[in-house]
Amino acid sequence: MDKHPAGKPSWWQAHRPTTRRLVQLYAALLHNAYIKGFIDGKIYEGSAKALCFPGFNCYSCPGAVAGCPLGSIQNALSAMGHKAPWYVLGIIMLFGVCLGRTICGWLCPLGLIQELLHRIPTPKIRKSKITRALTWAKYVFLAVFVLAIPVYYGLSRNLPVPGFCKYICPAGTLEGAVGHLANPGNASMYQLLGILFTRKWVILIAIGLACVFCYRSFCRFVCPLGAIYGLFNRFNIIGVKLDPDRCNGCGACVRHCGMDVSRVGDRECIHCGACLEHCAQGALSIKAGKILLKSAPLSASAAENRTSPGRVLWGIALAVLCFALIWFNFLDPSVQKDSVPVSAPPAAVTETPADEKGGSTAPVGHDIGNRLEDFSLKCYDGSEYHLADTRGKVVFINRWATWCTPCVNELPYFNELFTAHREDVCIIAVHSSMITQDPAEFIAPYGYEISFATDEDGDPVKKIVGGSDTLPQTVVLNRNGEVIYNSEKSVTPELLEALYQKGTE
Amino acid sequence: MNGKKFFLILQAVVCIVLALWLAVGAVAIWVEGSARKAEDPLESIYTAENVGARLGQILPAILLSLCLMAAGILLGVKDPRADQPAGMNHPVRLKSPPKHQSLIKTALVVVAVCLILLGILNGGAWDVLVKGTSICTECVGLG
Repeated sequence: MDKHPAGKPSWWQAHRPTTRRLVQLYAALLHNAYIKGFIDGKIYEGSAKALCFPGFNCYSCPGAVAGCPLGSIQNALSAMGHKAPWYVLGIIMLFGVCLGRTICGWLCPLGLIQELLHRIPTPKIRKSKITRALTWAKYVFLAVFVLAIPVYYGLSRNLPVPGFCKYICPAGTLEGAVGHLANPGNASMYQLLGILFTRKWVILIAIGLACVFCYRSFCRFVCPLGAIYGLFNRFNIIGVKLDPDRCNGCGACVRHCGMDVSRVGDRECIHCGACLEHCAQGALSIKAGKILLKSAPLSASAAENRTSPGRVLWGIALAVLCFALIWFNFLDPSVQKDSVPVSAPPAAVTETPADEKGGSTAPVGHDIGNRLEDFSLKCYDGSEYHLADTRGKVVFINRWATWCTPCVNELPYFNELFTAHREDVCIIAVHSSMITQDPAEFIAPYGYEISFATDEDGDPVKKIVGGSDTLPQTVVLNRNGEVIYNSEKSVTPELLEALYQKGTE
Repeated sequence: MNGKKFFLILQAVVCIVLALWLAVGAVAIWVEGSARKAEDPLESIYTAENVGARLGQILPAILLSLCLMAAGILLGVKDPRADQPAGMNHPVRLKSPPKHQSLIKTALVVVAVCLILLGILNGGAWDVLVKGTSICTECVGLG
């Protein structure tokens, strides 16, 4: 199996996974160790999500067990008005100094996907001066979508707009959106899709197609995270290092590199190590600080003698992976056991006596036609909100959060509806119990007339309305207190008016 | 044109057609759905049914592409130019490492750790947790 009689490498030798490919697969699995998420169609909600993984991996992916550094920095920048983004900046800087773009070459799940797409046998576009020039485009994406848009909207309108996630990110579309839509249990999510999904889907397809023909197109020309890590590439502790005493400047390393490097270790180098076997001088090696992980061959033919990571290292890595899989799927105490899945199964309905004030005999539940269980909340203006007191009016319950852009965007629509039909509607906006800034302070400048309250500890309202980890959510009750609409879809003024009309029928 | 070149071009054409089909299919669903939604705001643009129907139309192209891909990999077909070195014959200019590199590295690590600690104290870690444990539908492109 190993060697062809004529000395030509066998099929297996030519196609067997390299050490780097195995590390990439390992990292992808570690990034997405919450296997239960793919089965249940819901995301991991444990405390490990306070950390960021170094690679590009959407934290709304059903399997993700940690945050995405790029998504986190955008949200942190959009909140700059009231909180300095020290935490995420520190994490990105630490990853950059320790690993630099070694992350892109060895750990990034999106990098792995791009390389696999490039394996599809088609004619390939080779690197050139044009592709080298295009690598600067990722700094434009970084400046506009990761820095300017979140900072502008955050400071001027107090609105969290993660520009890159919202308009471009293929990881978000593939892992976050398609990852959820592919689960049959999430069929209700299709109603959320509109122009935003269409646009991002087309971008995803375009990036995927580009990767088939051009090696790591997204990584080379678009990825802002790679652009950031590239800034630290001269200082990173782990990566390909060049011994200037041995190097004769022949340029074989650069010519054989798939990336647009001008020399080993520059801002474009992803430290994949492909150049090692082409260096006849043995001037290249992969180093972790002062520890040489892989000895450099003294001649090109010695490439086969390269030492692979020791068995102890692989043993530790496998033990870590096994622990992560067991911990995140079965043992993590911070995962809410009582949370409602994204596609909540019909609530256990109970036959109850007719509602005292409305006369409805519908069973209690949160599905269409059910009567919502009664609840009370203390509003920010000091008043008490009792659901039972709203019978005879069309009731809108909106679950929102200050850190949720579509939630903040749709609040004026609810206010407009209230001012148009104030005698006939009752609207309450219930903030999630997960608070990053004072909601009362947040809404104060807008002068909204609708009622605002925060869900209490344990999220009683979220449970009553069958909420999930998706925001915003709007529930509409007719005059009898029966649910006529319950969706996690963003609303428009037209939709709210139509729901109001339906509620009055 | 030899067989390998023909195969590579065929695979490329299939990939492009498939990509166009996937993109145009989504746009078509959106156009049709938007027209329905304009008449009734309660209508959904995308449904599991219309997405399933479109995917059903594309399925033969997907299968053809997968078969071609598997055949190409098994037969070892690939663009011969892909493994050739790029035509850049200029010598590499060595750049000496920055002065006091170790000092800079240590300083950057210390600064990064300090920033993380500051961030934990000002609630930055909590903010990352809050965002990470909720699906921001707009951020992932759901809408």
